[in-house]
Amino acid sequence: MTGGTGIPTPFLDGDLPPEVRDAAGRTAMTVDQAMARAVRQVRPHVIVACRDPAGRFGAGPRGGADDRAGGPVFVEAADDREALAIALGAAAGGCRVFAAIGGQRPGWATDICHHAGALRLGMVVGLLARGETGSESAGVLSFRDAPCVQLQAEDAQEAYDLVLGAFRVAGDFDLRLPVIVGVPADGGGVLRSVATLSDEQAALFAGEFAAPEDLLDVEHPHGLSMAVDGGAAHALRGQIGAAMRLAAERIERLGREYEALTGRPGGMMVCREMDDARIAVVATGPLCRPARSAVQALRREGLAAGLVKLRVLRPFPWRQLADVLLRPGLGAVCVPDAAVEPGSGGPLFQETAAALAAGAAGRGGDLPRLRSLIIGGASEAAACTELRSVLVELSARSQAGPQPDPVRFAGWGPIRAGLSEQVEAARGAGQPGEGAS
Amino acid sequence: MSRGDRSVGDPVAPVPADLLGVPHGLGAGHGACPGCAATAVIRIALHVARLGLRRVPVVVGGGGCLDRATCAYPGNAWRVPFIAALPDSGPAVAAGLAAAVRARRAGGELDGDMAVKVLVLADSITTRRWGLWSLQRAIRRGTDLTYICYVNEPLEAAWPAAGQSPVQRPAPSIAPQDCARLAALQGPAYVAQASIHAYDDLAAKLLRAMDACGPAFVSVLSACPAAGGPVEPGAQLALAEAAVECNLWPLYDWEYGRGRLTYRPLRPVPVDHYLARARSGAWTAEWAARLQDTVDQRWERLCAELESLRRE
Repeated sequence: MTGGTGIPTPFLDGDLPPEVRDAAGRTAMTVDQAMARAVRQVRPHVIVACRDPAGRFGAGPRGGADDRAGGPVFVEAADDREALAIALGAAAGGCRVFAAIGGQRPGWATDICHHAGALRLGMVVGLLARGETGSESAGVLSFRDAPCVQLQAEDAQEAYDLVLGAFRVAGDFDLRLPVIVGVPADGGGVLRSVATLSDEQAALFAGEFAAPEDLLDVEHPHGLSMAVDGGAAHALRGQIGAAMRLAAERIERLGREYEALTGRPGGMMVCREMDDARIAVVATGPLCRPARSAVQALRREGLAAGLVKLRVLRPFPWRQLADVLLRPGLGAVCVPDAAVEPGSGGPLFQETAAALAAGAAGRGGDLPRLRSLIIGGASEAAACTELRSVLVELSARSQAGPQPDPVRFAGWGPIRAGLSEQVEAARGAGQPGEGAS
Repeated sequence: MSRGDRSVGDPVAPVPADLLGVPHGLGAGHGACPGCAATAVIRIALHVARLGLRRVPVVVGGGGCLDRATCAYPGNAWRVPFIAALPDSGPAVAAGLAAAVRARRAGGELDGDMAVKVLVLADSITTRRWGLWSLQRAIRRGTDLTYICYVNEPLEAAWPAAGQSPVQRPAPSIAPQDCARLAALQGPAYVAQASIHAYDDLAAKLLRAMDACGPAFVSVLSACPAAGGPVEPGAQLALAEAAVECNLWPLYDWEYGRGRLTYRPLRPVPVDHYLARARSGAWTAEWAARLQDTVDQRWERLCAELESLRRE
């Protein structure tokens, strides 16, 4: 109901029919309802959201927002950019804030995240990654250059878990960074089983909120500005860098705490079948599902494949990733990306390549072969098929000799020198592009 | 200065007394240009908020030159809370602050007696290009804010390209006047056009704006020494007075759809009077005549609009 209309706000929670729980006590929820549940349990001061293109919020109780009853204040924004700017103002005013965005192009809102990060304002942003735009990744990776902690959920369960954790990170006095949680649009609001904490447990986990920044402390007036005088820019960037490094430690610690509480993994990345893997997939967000299917299928066929799922993209867990991928015996890695990166390969591919290069220093030996697969827009089945074919090809190819272009577009094969060759190849294969001149 | 016909508008509000006993909201150490009139606008606004209304001002920089001049890490010249927003998001950040006040007051975290007034401060170029877009949304949302637009560009021609001769100049447009008109179209609680030289009128308008329940917009003529205004500090006031006396910058306000002139020059002077004081480069008699025509047309249109509203 919500995901299909692209409503970025998770406030239909109260409109649901009575909860349906399975034997394990899990509830059926869509991704945005799972996010709404976490928000409702934490009860931030201010919730900001914008209408979807059809003019709907998901009316409902707006995440329990009702300031007359002492609940969160709800503010309607006209678009993603304005929603983030309002959230920024509320965070500066000493509030715990949640903003739901994703109805329009998130790329338009990235500089507000730069602004919030530079001002060191902690707030939580739920980003519904619809993946409907052209070249943008339309997800958390759209914000990859912003000084924000960036988390990416694969499904409704992770959306719930990560939003809860995000409030804890955003309220950390030592970090003072915005936290963006990317959640998949999830194919029209598919209901999935989600295990939730009780309200008391959730509130306890999110912790008491002590405003890291309070512009309304008029007894001690101060200024917040992104402008920097000369050499102080280095100091500011250094502080942001130190906060991001510290964020990695805090997230790891938080993950262990959450794992002890719920039994679900809470670290920066999750490895599956990687102990004996000879080929691996590094994926994040909704692409993890086809990646897992491809790995399982290859395992059934006798090929030792593994999956590394990244839940945290900023700070990027390059050291942990390098440790996993530089294990002896792993010969090739495929990195699927939703977005086109005009550099070389998708954005996650570039991060992975950089992590491998940095992690390999002083270790010696060969690096695994890398392949970038641009797969955005493909159906789950098509993505799985494509991944399988790339992994099979990678496992068969020898390390020696000239290597092909590492970037491949789903349905189009490797990047070629020019458009005419691509069209020619497509004609030969009977693929899109036929008839183009 | 000729006081003109004061009977057109309301009597001016009393000037807040005892200004000397209150520390400036904008302290020493800012990097504004020598002769910048906008800093005086800020100080008047902060005095009006604190002394006239007994409210605590929280200032949002809406992306003008003063944002950087007054608060650039690690320096800060503000003695009141200040946050610099991006050029198009000043009113949105103000809406967030207003929501924070509501939420924290509802939760008992803020003193219930502490009345906060959120001010957005931006220059006219930023306002026309980006600010009105965001202000429009704040107005529709009914955000309680006062948007103060300081007009720091040459009145007679918006953005004359560098190196343009008077012959190449476009037809006179007086674009800065449009800020208040465009804001009024959105239906805020209060809109006014004021000038830095008319302190009592400016203070009265700021008082009304900040006292209005809802969004308000005040556009203040404050010539910029770096953009065509004179460099000598005192000359800014003379330039602003000349603009008002030749009807280039009418003083009026607009409250809940009812507009009125707050000052009408008894004998308007030609625009040459203004141009002679402005440091806007060479201009020809022909171009000045065209500017005069534009000024006259705009003045007549404004008077007609206000008259029709009064009859309604």
